[in-house]
Amino acid sequence: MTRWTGLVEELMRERGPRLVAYAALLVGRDGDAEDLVHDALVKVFSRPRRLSTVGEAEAYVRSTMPSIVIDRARSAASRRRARDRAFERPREAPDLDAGLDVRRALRGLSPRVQVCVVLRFFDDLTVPQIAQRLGIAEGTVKRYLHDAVAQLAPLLDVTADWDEEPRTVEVVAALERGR
Amino acid sequence: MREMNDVLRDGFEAHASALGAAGVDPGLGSGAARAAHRRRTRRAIGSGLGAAAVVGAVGVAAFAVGGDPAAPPAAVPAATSDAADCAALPYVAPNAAALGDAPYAFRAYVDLRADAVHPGVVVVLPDGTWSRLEPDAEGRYLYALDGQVYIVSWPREETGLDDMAMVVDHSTDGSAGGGDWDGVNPVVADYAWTVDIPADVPDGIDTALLSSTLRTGIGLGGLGYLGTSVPAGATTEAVVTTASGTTTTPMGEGSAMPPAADDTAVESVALRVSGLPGGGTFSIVAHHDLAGILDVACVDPAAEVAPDMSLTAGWEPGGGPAVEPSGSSPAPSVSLAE
Repeated sequence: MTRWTGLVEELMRERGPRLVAYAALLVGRDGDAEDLVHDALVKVFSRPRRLSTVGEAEAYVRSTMPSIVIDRARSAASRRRARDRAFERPREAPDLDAGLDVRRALRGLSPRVQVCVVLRFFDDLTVPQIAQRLGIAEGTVKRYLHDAVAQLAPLLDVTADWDEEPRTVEVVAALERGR
Repeated sequence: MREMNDVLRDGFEAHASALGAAGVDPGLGSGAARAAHRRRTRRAIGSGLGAAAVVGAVGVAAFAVGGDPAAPPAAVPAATSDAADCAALPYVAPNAAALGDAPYAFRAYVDLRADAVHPGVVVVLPDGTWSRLEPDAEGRYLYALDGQVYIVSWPREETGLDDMAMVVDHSTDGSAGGGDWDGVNPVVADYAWTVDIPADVPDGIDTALLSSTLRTGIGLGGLGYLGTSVPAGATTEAVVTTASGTTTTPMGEGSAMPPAADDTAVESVALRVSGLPGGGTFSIVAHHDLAGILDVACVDPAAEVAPDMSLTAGWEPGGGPAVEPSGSSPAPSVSLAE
């Protein structure tokens, strides 16, 4: 077993559920989420990378998922491959109930909007960061998020108010500057 | 009323816990690992890229043939004693005869291991011109050729390159493909192939794209088939000829050439375009001759050309200083050692 295949095995054993759960936020269904995790694993481990810990690998695999979802939305061929694999599954297992209301609400959004919502409200990225990550205009991201929140708020019983920037505080080394 | 962030995170945690209790498909990771392994194999430039052993006087070298990792190695003639001598400087130039019209730029040998026999990053052009690259202030190995700047090694993204040796073929269209290398033995598998492009090319045929696709059928890496490389209404087939017969496979959009059942038995691999306006067909053919491996020339150690680092200084993706096309490539007059 090579070092990277061992890391894949360890990653799925230790973090598989979290990867699938994150993917499910992006695509809405458990079966599709497993396909997305599969594609992300292939994308990450098809090239040599310095990933020495499970935590690094999990972060890297997760970071590739949004772009895969966007690419699928853009690429008919890619969608066809995902669909073909869906047909290959012997029987569609029902989605788990836990957190299902959230996933059901999210999958009512278009793929791009759904990705924007997850990056903003789960990953705490800023609007400019999302725009840069997905290669779309900041204005487009804002519009997606405003429309999405308006749609999701009554379904999930959440406030329709939201900040464009995450509620985080940048820690500055004041002592260092004061010297 | 709750915040969106809290609802998403609660939903995620509940779902992850339930998945942990129910169990994730155990085949998910192993299936992905197999797919990643296939991609790594296909990305290898030559059939025996990772293990092309040069044993000189013994006369036979075993190398992996790609595809099924469980398949036994095939036996092929080894490189000549001349090629074995390349071990003193293992940077064999890519075989220009196997390029066809592919938009090929250069081959890069990357071995950043601290204990490597030949540490560093070296680029070799098809004419044998070669240069050793030095990292810039950011640790990047950049190379300018004919007005384009290529990222040969970028530690921030290709971080695995400092603990393994690789050979990567770069194309002028920005694509690149490569694979593992032992850092010592010359890469010679592409010398078993010669690509022929007919002189008369019908209108609407893009021999550059077709050549790139054809190279995927001979283990040298390239782009998948694009329908835009032939005229509207035309169809393209992959034609693989062995001693026992010929097989044809229709080429679909984005597909690579079909793998041969036995690489050593292949006599030729071709792309045949039919349904051309006015009738007729057009083919480009890669001929296979393992004896070609016996005719590998080493680069001349004295023929090293210093790259012009000023062309890449301060360069950034999508920006950076403009690179003048003239004078950006090393002098092409360097000869290959016999």
